Parts: sequence; structure tokens; C-alpha cells
Amino acid sequence: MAASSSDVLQGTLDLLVLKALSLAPMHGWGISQRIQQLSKDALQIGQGSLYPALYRLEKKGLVASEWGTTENNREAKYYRLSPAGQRALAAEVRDWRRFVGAVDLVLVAE
Amino acid sequence: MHILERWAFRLRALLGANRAEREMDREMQFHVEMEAAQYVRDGVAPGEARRRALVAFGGRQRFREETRDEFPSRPVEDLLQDVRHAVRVFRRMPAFTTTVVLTLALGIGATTVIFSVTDHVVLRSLPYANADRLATVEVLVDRPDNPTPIWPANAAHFLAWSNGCTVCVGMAAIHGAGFTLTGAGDPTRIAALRVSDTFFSLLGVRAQIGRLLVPGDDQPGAASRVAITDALWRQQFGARTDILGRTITLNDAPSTVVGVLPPDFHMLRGRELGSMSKLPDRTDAFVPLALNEHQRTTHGEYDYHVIALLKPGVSVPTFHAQLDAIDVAAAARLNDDSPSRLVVTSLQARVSGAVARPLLLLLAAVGAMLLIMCVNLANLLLARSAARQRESAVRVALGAARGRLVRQALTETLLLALIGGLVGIVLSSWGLKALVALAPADLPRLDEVRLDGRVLVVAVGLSVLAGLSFGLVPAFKLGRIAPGDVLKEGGRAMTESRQGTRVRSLLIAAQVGLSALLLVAGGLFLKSFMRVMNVDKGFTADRVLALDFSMPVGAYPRPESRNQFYASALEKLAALPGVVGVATTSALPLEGENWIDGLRRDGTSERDGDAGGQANFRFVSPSFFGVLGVPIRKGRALADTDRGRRTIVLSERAAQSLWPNENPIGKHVHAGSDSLYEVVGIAADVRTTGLERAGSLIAYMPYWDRSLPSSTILLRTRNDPAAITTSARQALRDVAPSVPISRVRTIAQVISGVVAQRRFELVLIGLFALTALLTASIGIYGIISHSLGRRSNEIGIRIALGARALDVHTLVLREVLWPVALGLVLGVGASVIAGRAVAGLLFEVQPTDAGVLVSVALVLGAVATLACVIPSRRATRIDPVDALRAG
Repeated sequence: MAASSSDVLQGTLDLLVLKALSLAPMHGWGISQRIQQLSKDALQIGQGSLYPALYRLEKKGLVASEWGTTENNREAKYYRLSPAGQRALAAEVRDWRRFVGAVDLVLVAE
Repeated sequence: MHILERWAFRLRALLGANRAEREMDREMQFHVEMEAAQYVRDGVAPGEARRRALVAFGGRQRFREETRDEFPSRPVEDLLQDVRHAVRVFRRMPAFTTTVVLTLALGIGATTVIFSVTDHVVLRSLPYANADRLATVEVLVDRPDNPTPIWPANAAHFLAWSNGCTVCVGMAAIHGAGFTLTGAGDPTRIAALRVSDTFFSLLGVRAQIGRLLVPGDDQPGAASRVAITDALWRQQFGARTDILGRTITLNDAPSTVVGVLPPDFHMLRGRELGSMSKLPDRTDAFVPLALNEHQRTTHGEYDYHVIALLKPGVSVPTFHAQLDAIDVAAAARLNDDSPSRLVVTSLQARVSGAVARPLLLLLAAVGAMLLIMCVNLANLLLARSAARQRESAVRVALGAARGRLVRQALTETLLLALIGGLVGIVLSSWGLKALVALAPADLPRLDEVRLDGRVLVVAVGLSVLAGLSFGLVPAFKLGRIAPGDVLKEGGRAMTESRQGTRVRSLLIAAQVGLSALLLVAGGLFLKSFMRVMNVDKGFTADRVLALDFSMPVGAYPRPESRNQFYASALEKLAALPGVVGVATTSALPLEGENWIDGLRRDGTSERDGDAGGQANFRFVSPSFFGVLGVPIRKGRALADTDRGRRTIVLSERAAQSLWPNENPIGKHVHAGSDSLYEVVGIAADVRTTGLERAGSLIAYMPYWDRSLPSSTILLRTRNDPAAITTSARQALRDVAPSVPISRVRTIAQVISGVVAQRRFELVLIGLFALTALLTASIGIYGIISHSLGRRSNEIGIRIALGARALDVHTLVLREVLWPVALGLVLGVGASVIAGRAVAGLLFEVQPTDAGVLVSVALVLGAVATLACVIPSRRATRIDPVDALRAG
């Protein structure tokens, strides 16, 4: 079952975007594709959420953007992780692990 | 980030916002194309692929909105959008907008004017570096026959104090002097002050060029030096820097110019230092005081203003205590027979003291007026927000955030307030000119008053505050709006809510209360003014022209020649057409004390304590009493046949103090240190120091007894006395071309000058009170009309059920009666309490004056009733059918 974009919690979306960008700088469409692919189609990021998230992260200084060209020689806006973004990603990953672990503990209880 | 930086960042983002939007569109475009290409790779036809990509992307507009929310420039854009929206709203409602802007402009403008005057005159420090540590020292000559008990000090006092004072950095004395400047163009009369050489260092003033007076300059015998003002430097010396070291001639003696004062130096004017001051209004130059031996030791002239600079941390009372101790010792040493008490005042309080209270009162009055206007505007906005409820409900229903609605509404009112404030500031620049023209000439520091940064900041702040005061409640009401209910009701309730009625009543009560406060103040001032104008001045003539002249002593060296001038001038002027009578007097009534000396009963010595009193001596022609209309109570006036005899006329109180309950006619009196004079008549008491206090004791002597070179000629005329000025001047020139006329005024102008401050206060308070009354009545009218408009349905039903016009009036009046009565009680009660603060400003009127309080209640009640009856008459003409159908 594919989770719709609105099901992706906002904090989680930021985490996913940061993670995707930590692999390589890429444009918005690439980010949504990469997340879909990495999650084996379980997560599909709607554009309506993706771009506001990107602008928000840029305003916070966690990602930076610049215009570049794709392999097909098309102009696209590329996003990459800033040093602050890398630190934020590490922190968010830690938080997420703790959260998941905690939820797991609750769920395994008999 | 610092708040300023944040907004700068946002503004930059705003300027780049178009580019950001274009980039956003390109990015969106790119995304859709990639998506479409994916579909094509999956085998979908290109056209269909593009459609599917667009569908997958979702609403573009929503995408734009949501993405734009993350733009850093968002708050600025919202603000601009709100402002644009507000401007559109204003354009749609020009009558509303004009009303609000003009009301506020008037209120803010008036408040700004009064504030700028109060601020400059009372609140602001004097423009000296050490202003807060400067104090004045005067002496209290407290005798019952002395209408102006506070006098400047004499030189011997000053020296004793300044030698003994350890808590002050130093003391300086100021003494007025007139000088004729020669050797720089035409001979010019300039006003110079003789000051201690420490004067400028105590004030903390530095020279613009050269130096000012320094210690050592006022040693007797030192070379004469002079420091000049910037104005004199520019006018007489063309602002040339080679003025330094130049020798100018003052009163035929050479003086070296050592420096020029800075252009912004402000010398205290004489009247700012007290009513007995002889200092001029304008000062051109300063010379060292250089007291001679005689001045150092005698207790003669009380003519020296003393200023002290206290050491840091020393209070005025501490300083006062030390001076008292010094003074007691000095009095013992100098055998001072007139024990005096010292009056020590901080310079700031001395200058603004007398007017601080009236000005603060005016500020309070104008503030109350502004408050009434704000109440009015709050009501107007409430009514309008009720009318716009539907619009707002639709917006909320369509998804507008409530916070955004509130912000929009606040932006609107703040924008209105700022526009009103700006128009008000423009108005106030004119108002200030009018006010300065109206203000009494002796209002201190009037020449400093102007609209400056500090005043403007207050004006703008006041506008914002006003905007918030009447904008907050309606705005938050919008925020609480329940769209479902509003839209269901169709925007119009059948009857009014209880809460609406309560708010309305409160607004009415507030307006009535504040108006009552202002009207009571205005009424008290009016009554005081009328009482002052009706006091017995002691003279009755009202069409009299007064001309001051002074004979050059060189041309008239002997008393005989001066008496000859008097006689021929009086004779020549009496022949002028339109002149009923001519007289001379050495001083006019109401123009202050003059030539004070002792009167002593015949047969007593100077050591007897109760032998007489201090009187003002006036040297008059026999015609004086008839021309000015001073009644002779007993005996006769002076007469030409008195030449060669020593005769005197006393005022009633002077006679009373010499011979209580005895007939003084024919008795003899020592006048000053002179020989005995025979009392030939008793004249009515004339007010000397203003209309509000009993005058000094007066002794009238014939002018030929002293033959003063300077005096005043009085012309009583058949018609307007001012019209005769030119022919009178001409006639005097014919008699003696070398005698200059220094000043001309009518007796009406003299009286008018004496009551100038009272008139100033009355005009302003009256203006504010009437504006308040008008505003409040318009407000009540508006509130009632609006409420009746909303209730036309209900009233229609009442009329349909048989209510008559009277019933409708009663219904309306009953509703207004309570808030009006409440407002009246609170307002009148508050004014009785606040009355204590103004009691000192009133003349023979109590702050609880029943006549004033009752009149105010009646006027306000009548106006409020009128403001209700007009709309309620309209309501009685409602056609029930129409009203019900419209509902």
C-alpha cells in the first residue's frame, strides 16, 4: 500500500529530503523519484508537499540551491545539503531511531 | 537575527520576489515535463502523458500559494497586500475614510501643538550643559504693603553668599544695563548684561570664536572686555572673524571684544526670572559685572539676579540651608534692618514654574478631547465592522485564517490612524504658528517652540496608539466571527444583542463624562475671566493712548528745561482734534511696581516700626486723575497752584496705613527721605501688578517736583485712541524733535496684556471643550441612528402593534438616559476631584461652583437629548410594512 503525501508527517518529509540529498545533489523531481525508489514505491512524495518543504529547508539554511543542467541538457534547480543540513540530518536520524525504537517497544509488549 | 536585519532580509527577498516566482514556475514546469517523460517511457501517448503529469502535480495555484508561504518575503507581501486592500476599501467608502482621517487629524494636530509647547516650555531641560544643577536665589521682602514680595538680590547679599557657599561650584550675578554702541555704523542702542566673570562657565557655555568672560575679567579696574551674541556679530560686524581683539565703544568707553557666543545660545529673558526683573527680553552683549566699592557694601538696589551651580549630588534644600546660615551672619555683620528670607528655586522651575500648571492642564484637556474622538471612532468602526460582518463571514467560510482577518482589520485602522496623524502634523505646523501668535508674550521659552524630531515621534506614536485604541476591539470581534450564524441571519439581527447595548451605553457614558470634565473646566475658566475683567481697576477710562518718551539728559540738563518740555508738550497735545484730555504720569497702572520708597507719618522717626509703609511713587500732572478716571475720594487732586508747595495725594490704602480711621487731609507725611509733604487728597486704589491682586500703596506727587527725564504722556480721546498715534507723534516732534518716543500703546492693550495668559488658557480650554461637546453630540447621534437603523424592524413591529411617536421617543430616550446620567455623574464628580488641581488657576471662583456645574449638566443633557431626538423622529416615520419586508 502506498502512503499518500499527506500521510507523510512533515518532520518525516524533511528527514527524507535531507537523507536523499545527502546521497547526491539533485533536483526536485529527482528527489521525489529517489525517495520512491529507495522505499520500493512505498512512499510517494506529492509535489504539493515537496517544494514547500524544499523552500522551507532552504530558508532554514539546511539546503542550498543553484541552477544547473541535466544530462539531457535541460535547466533544473539543483539542491544540495549544507553543512548545517548535514548536522541536522544526523540529529534527525538519531531522533527517528529513538522514536521508532520507542514505538516498537510499545508494540512488542504483550 | 536582529529584528531589523530580519526585515531587511525580507525586503531584499521582496525585491527579488518576482525572480523567485519566475524560478518557481520554471521549476514546476521542469517537474511536470520530467513526469510526462516518465509516462511516455511507460508507453503513454505524449498528449495524454502531459495531462496525467499535470493531474499528478495537483492544483498549480495551490502549489504556488503554499510554496510562496515559505518565501522569506511573505510577511512584507502580506503587509503590502493588506495595505493595498485597505486602500481599495478606503476608496470605496470615501465618507467614512474622510470622517476618520479628519477627526484624527484634528485631535492629533491639536494634541501635537499643545504637546510641543508644553514640552519646550515645561518638560525640556533648559539649553545649558549644567541645566539640572542650576538654581536661582531671590529674596522675599514680605510686607503686607508689598504686592510683589519676591525680589532679585542686592550686590552685598550676592557677595556674602558666593564667598561663603561651599556646596556650590560657584555663583554668578546678572545685572541689566543699556549701552549705546558707537564706532560700528550708526550709534545703536544695544541691550547688554553685566555678569560675573564665572557666569558662562557655570552655565557650561563655550565661545563660538575667541573666548567668553573668564575669572579675573570683572576685577574693578581691569581692562573692559565684552562678549557679543551671534546675532549682534552678524548684524553689526558682518560675522567677520577679525572682530576678536577689536575695540568697540560702549557708552563712550572702549571695550575689547574677546569672543562671540554660539548661535544657539539662549539667554534667559528678564520676565523668565521674575516680575521684578529689569533684564531685557533680548541680549546683545555681556560685559563683566565689576562691582565698585559702593555697590559691594550698600544694601541698596535689589536688582541683581543670582544664579548658582550646585555641586553634583547637592540638593536645592541643602543649598538653601547653607545660604540661610550665611545670610543670618551677614545680616548681623551688615546691620541689616530688613530681615529677609531667601527664595531658592531650581532654575528650571523658576523659568517654567508659573506656567507649568496651566500648560499641563491644557495638555490634559486636549488629551481628553482626543480620547473623546477615539471613543467616537471606536464606535464608528464597530458599526462598520457590524456592517461588514457578512463579508468577513464569507472570507472565513472560504478559508481565510482568522489571524489574517484580524491583521487585515488592524492594518486598515492603523493605516487610517497614520494618515490622520500625518495630516494632523501638517495641521499642527499651522496651529503652532497661530498658538505662538496668541500666546502671552511672557510665556517663557516661547522662542524655542517648534515641531522637532521629539515632538514628531510623539505625534506618530500617538497616532498609532489612537489607531490601536479604536481598532483593537472591532478587529478582535472579527476574529471571533462565526460564519454559519452570520450567514444564516442574513447579516441582520431582528433585535440587538444585550452585549451590543452594553457597549453602546458605555461609549455614550464615556463621551458624556469626558465632555462634562472639559466643559466644567471651560466654564470655570470663563467665569474666572469674567470676574477678572470686572474687578474694580481703580480707573475707569478706556479710550486712552499712552506714549513713553525720554528726554536726552544732555539736551535737557536742568529741571527747569525739563518742566518746560512737560508744560509745552501737554499744551500742544491738548490742542489736537479728538483729544479730550492730556496728562502725564511716571508709571501706568497694571504695568508693575515702580519707584518704591517709604512713607512715614509726620512726627515719627525711621526706627518706628509702624510709622507707615512702602509705596510706589508716581509723578503726575494735576490732570492725571481726570484723564485716567481715578476717583478722588477725599480732598482734591493736585493743582497747578501747588507749585512751590510740597503737596501729595495718597491712595486710600496708603492713607489707611498711615492714619487708620483718621481724616488724613491736611496732615503731613515724610515721602522717602525727603521733607514733609502735605496730603491734599485721597485717590481710589489703582491696581498696579495685575487685575487679580490689590495694588501697591501709591503716593502721587506733581511731576515738577522731580522733573523726570523719562515719563509717559496720556491722551484721552473721543474715539479710537490708536487712530491718533500719528498726529500725537507729530505734535511731540514739533515741540521737541530731539525727544524720542520709545513706546506707544492704548490702555486697552495694557489691560489686554495683563489678562493675556488667562485669555490664552480660556480660548484653548474653551476650544477643546466645544470641540469635545460637538464630537460627543455627533457621537451620540451616530450611535443612536445606527442602533435605530438596525432595529427598524423591531420598531416597525411596535408601530404596527399601535405604538405612537411619543412611545418611540420614550423608548429611545430611556435607553440613552442612563448612560448620559452615568456619564454626567462621573464627569462632574471627576471634575470636582480634579478641580483641586486647577483651583490655583481660578480667580474668585471655586472649582465646585454650583452655577458652572449645573449649567454644564443642563447643556450636556440638552445636547444629548437633541442628538437622540433627531434620529428617533426619523424612526417614528418608519413604515411598518416596509420595515418588516426588508427584514
